Amino acid sequence: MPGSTEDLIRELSGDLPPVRPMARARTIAGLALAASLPVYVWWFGGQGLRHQLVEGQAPSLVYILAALVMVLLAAGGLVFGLTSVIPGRENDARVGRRIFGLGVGVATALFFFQWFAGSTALVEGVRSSLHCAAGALWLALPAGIIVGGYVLRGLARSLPAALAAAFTGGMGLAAVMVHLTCPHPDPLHMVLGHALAPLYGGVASIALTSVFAALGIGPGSTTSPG
Amino acid sequence: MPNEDDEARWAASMRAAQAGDAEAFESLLREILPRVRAQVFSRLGGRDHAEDVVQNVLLSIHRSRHTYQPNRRFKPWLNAVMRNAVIDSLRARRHEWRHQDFDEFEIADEENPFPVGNPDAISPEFEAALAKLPDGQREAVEMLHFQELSVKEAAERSGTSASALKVRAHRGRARLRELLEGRR
Repeated sequence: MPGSTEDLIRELSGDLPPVRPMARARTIAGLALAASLPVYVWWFGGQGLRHQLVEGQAPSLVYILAALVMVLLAAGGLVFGLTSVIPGRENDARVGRRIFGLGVGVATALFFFQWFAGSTALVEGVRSSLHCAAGALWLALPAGIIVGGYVLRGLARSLPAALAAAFTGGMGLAAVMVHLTCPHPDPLHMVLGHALAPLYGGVASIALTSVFAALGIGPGSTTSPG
Repeated sequence: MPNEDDEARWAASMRAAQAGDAEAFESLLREILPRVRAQVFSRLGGRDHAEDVVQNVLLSIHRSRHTYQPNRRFKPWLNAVMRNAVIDSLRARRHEWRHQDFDEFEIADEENPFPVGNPDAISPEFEAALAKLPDGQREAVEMLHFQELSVKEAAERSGTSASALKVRAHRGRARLRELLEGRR
């Protein structure tokens, strides 16, 4: 063994503080959900279940597709975000990325379809969606803090991507809650205010991460030592 | 090729290392070293910097040991850390070829809060904290931050490897931060 590598092994094992192993990704997902439950309950208490659902009306196709998008973004985002920061879980991260990509694809198709269908002007649709998107953002805060903390502690190949996916996942869960309570019947509103809301969270987290990186704040995303 | 016995033993050693068992960690590093070398040399084709990359892999294992989850297999974790470290080392190498002052860049990139090469800017508190460092760490910090030596020059002067010197400097800076922030 060359002397320098021998030196290094001695250096590395010479002063070895204990470390707390990363928790399982599913434990963190469960914790994020548990932490979010009180705000979900509070939201439901204030808003009540969507009256069309209470009255037993069959949901529209857009309503169902929007719900599907949110579930795909939540599942894919959380799986990708939480597993991509654990070395050796690349296969799980790949599955999460595919589910997430499918969600983005369906969301994009749904948006353009509703936009060109032209039932509502885009500006009006955006304006009416702000309240729901903001609601999803607030509801996602507990989950976002937990999954964000996990991602920051892990070993991300790309920190912005892992954080964005994890935040999008957390917002996906919150957007489902908004979707279940919002009585707005307009399809463009459902797409802009509910289905796409998780992606706003992802974009915002990328913007924030980039600002912090530019300011030299926060951990790097590389695994390279020294 | 490692067998299931290796897997169980390495996983146990890593769990012990996470709990702070230095002997277990040293033994683990020695055991996996041939595997690391084989992987790195097969990727790099025995280039002259291959041993540097091997050392970077060992550093990565040390720094990311908290990401090993005790309920999972060790070898996939090791392979991923190895692969990432090799890729990062190759990227850093390319960067080094483009930037002659790579060593200085690398030090700046570690968010060094200390006044480089400016002894007038050193406060009595800083001097006192510096004096409390172990000899090796103090020497590394002084050479890199006050004498403005490159990592290579400092390593030659102290008779150790560049990677080991970087470890000492990194630990020295971390300890200095703690001392200056009054954490200990």
